[in-house]
Amino acid sequence: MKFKYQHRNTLVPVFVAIAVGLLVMFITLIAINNKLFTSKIPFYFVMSSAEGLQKHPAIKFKGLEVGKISDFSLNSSNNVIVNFYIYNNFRDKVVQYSVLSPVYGITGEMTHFELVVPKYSEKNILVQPNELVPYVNSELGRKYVDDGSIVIPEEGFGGIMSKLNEILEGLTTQRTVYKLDTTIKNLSDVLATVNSVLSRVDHTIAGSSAPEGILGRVGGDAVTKSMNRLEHILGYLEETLAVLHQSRKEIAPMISNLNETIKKLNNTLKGVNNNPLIKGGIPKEKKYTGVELND
Amino acid sequence: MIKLAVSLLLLSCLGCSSTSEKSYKKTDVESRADEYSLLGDKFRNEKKYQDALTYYQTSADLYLLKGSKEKYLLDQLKQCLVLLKMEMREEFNLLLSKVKTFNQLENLAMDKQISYMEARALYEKGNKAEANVIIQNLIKSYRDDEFEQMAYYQFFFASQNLSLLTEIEFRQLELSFEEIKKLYDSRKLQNIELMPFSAVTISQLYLGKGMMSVAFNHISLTDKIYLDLELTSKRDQVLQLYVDYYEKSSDSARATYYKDLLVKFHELMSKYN
Repeated sequence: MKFKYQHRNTLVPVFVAIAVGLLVMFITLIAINNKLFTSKIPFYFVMSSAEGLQKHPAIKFKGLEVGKISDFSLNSSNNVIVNFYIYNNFRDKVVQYSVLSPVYGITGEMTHFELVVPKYSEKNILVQPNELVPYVNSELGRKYVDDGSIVIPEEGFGGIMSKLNEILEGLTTQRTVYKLDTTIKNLSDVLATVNSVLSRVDHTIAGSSAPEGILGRVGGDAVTKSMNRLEHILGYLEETLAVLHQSRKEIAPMISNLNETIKKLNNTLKGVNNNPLIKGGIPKEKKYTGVELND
Repeated sequence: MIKLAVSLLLLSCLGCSSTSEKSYKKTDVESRADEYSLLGDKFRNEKKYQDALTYYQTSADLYLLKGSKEKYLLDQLKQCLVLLKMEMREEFNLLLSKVKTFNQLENLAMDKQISYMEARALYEKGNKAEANVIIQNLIKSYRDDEFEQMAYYQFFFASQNLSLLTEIEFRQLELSFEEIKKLYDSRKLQNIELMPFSAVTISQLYLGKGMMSVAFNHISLTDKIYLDLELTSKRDQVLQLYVDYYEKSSDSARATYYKDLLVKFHELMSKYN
C-alpha cells in the first residue's frame, strides 16, 4: 500500500514553523532561566585565592539566588579581583557593611557565596555599582565582624558546623552496627569537612584583631557544639580504627577473594570472547605450591 | 550456502554453551586458607615476618580444620623458614619436629621439603658439608621430571658455595638459567620466586668469575625483574650487586653512589616497612 501526500506544500511549512517556534521557545526559556533579560548591577571583592571560583558560584541571600560571580583576575599585588553582579530586583540589599562569605559543602568544596548584610535600617547606605563589597576574610570584612557591624549567619560559617553535627550524629548511630564500608566513606567525608572547618576557624581567629569570644560571634552555639562533638568523635574514631585493626585479618582475604572473583570473571569474558572452536578457551590459572622460595 | 553458514553458526554456539557437570565439591574453606597463605607469602616477600607468621598460621589452621594435610604441612614449613629468617631457633626446632611427626604419622610424601628445611638449619649453624649433601640429593631426586624444583636447588647450592663450583656445575647453572628465563618470558614459570632468586645468584657467580660485561647484563636483568615483580623490600640485593660490580671495576665514584643508595634504602625500609 502506498501513501500519498495530498497537502505536501502546506504541511512542510507548518512543520518547519512549529520546529522553529519550539526552538525559539526553548531558547527564550533558557535565557529567562539564566536571567539573561534581568538587568545586573556589577560589584567586586578581593580575595587571596581563586580556589572554588572556576565554576562561577552563585551569590545567595537567605536561600535566594541574588547574583553570580562573573569573572576574576589577578592584580599586580597577587590578589584575586572577583567581579560579580547582583540582579536589579535585589540591588537594595547591597548596603554598606555588607560582606560576602563563602559557603562550603560537606566535602569541603565551596558551593556559593552568601551575601551577609547588617541589620535592616532605613539609614543603610547603598553600595554604588562597580564598588567594593568586602570579602569576609579580608581586613575590612574581619573588621566588620570584629566590631559587630555584621553577624555571620548559620548558612555561612555556622551552616557548615550544623552539617558537621549532622554527620557526627549519623556516625554515632552507626556505632552499634559495624557497617565498615559506610563508616569508612563517612569518616573520609567527616575528616574532609573537619579539616576545611578547622582551617577556616584557624584563619579567622588568626586574622581577627579581637579573638576573644570570636567563636560565639562568628558561628554562634553551633561552633561550640561542633567543637565538643569533635572531641567525642575523636574517641569514636579511635574505637572504629581499633575495630578495623581487629578485623584486618578478615578484611584482607575478603578483598583478595574479591580480586580473585574479578579475575575469574575476566577469564569467563575471555572465554566468551574467544570462541572455543577457534581459540583455546579460558586460560588455566596456575598456582605454585612448594617451599622453594626466594628467601 | 546460507543454510551451511547457519549450521556452522549453530555448531559454534553449541560449542560455547556447553556447561560443566554438576559438582558437589566445595572449596570455600580451602579458598580462604589459600588466600591467607598468599598473604603470608606477600608479607614474607615484604620482610614483614611477624605478619607472615600470623597469616601462615591462620591458613594452616583452616587447612587442618578442613583436613587438607599436605597444604597444612606446607604452611608449617613456610613458617619454619620465616622462623629461621627471624633467628628464632628454638621455635624453629619445635615446629620442625612437629612437622616431621605429622608427616610420618599421616604418611605424607613431604620428606624432600622437610629435608630442605633441615639443610637450611644446618647452613645457618655453619654445618655446610652436611647441608650440601642434602641439597645435592634433592637436585638428584628432582632431576628427571620436575625442572623448576631441580633448578631451584641447583641455584640454592650455588648460592651457598659461590666460589667452590666446578666448571660443569657452572655450565649446568647457565643452561638452567636460560630455561628459567625462557619459561618466565613465555609466562609458563610456575614458581615465580625462582626467577629473581636465580637471577641474583647467577649475577653473583659471574661477578665472582670476573666476567664483568656478562655480569653487568645479568645485574641489569635482575634489576628489571625486581622492578617488574615489585620486590621492593628486597631491592637491597640488587643494589648490593651494583656495589660489588663497581667495586670490582674500580669505579669508586659509582660504588660509593650505590653504597649511599643502599644506606638510603635501609633508612626508607625502617621508615615505611
